[in-house]
Amino acid sequence: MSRKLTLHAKDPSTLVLSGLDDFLCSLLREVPESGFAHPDADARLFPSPTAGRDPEADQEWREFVRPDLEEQFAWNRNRVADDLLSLRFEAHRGAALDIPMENLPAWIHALNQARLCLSAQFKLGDEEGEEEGSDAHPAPEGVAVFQMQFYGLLQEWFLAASDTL
Amino acid sequence: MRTILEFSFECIITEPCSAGIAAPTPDLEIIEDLELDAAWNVVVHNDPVNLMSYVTKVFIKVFEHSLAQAERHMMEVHTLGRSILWSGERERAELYVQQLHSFLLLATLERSV
Repeated sequence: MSRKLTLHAKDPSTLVLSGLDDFLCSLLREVPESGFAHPDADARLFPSPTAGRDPEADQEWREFVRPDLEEQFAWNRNRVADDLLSLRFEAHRGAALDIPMENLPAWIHALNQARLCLSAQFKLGDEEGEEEGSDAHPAPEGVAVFQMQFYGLLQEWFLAASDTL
Repeated sequence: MRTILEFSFECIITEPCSAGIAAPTPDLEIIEDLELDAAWNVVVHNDPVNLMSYVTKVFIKVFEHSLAQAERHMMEVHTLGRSILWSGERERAELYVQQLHSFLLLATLERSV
């Protein structure tokens, strides 16, 4: 049975993502882990501020700025992990997830983080997102392409629903 | 574009006046150090993953741009590969780059030429 994935307001402070099947639920549960810096994604998540032109400044950045960024990224992933605890099965409607409006920025950032990590890990670019229905990628790259598209769709929906980042 | 001027003056009175004598006009030797501190650019580079709508919202948030301004810079990044978002003193430019990195945008600091 096909279900329609929808995002709607439960009340002024809560959104509900519903119509999730088991596969989409498993992808959602992977958001916090996908955004955890994979070795291949480290340079992308923590780029050098001078692109190597000023090694001293880059080193100071690694010492003093990177820890703050790591903390912010972890905070976003933790908010998402907490919200995922509300994932529940609804008869005839698939699974549903409550997302507090105040956590939307954390979701947007965590999804972005996950997409960047997947892209770096599987060497995927934006052209991958346009290959709808393509079978050019064998698994697990093919799953990663779908995962990036799904996360991108959610990010677009959350951006539209959120006034701020 | 902003330019910072740093001046320092040193005044040396070579003939101090003494009582009963009309005060001469002191000779002032002025040593002037003038240094022009180059401006720094905050540059955002194209990224194949970040969504255009996301990048636009980040520019609005960080630089308090209007939607039109933010979209113009976003399109510049998208089509030309980079856009200068801000120019000025280094300390503030570093803060902007840090904020942009916290939103996972590829941003660098470049000395303005």
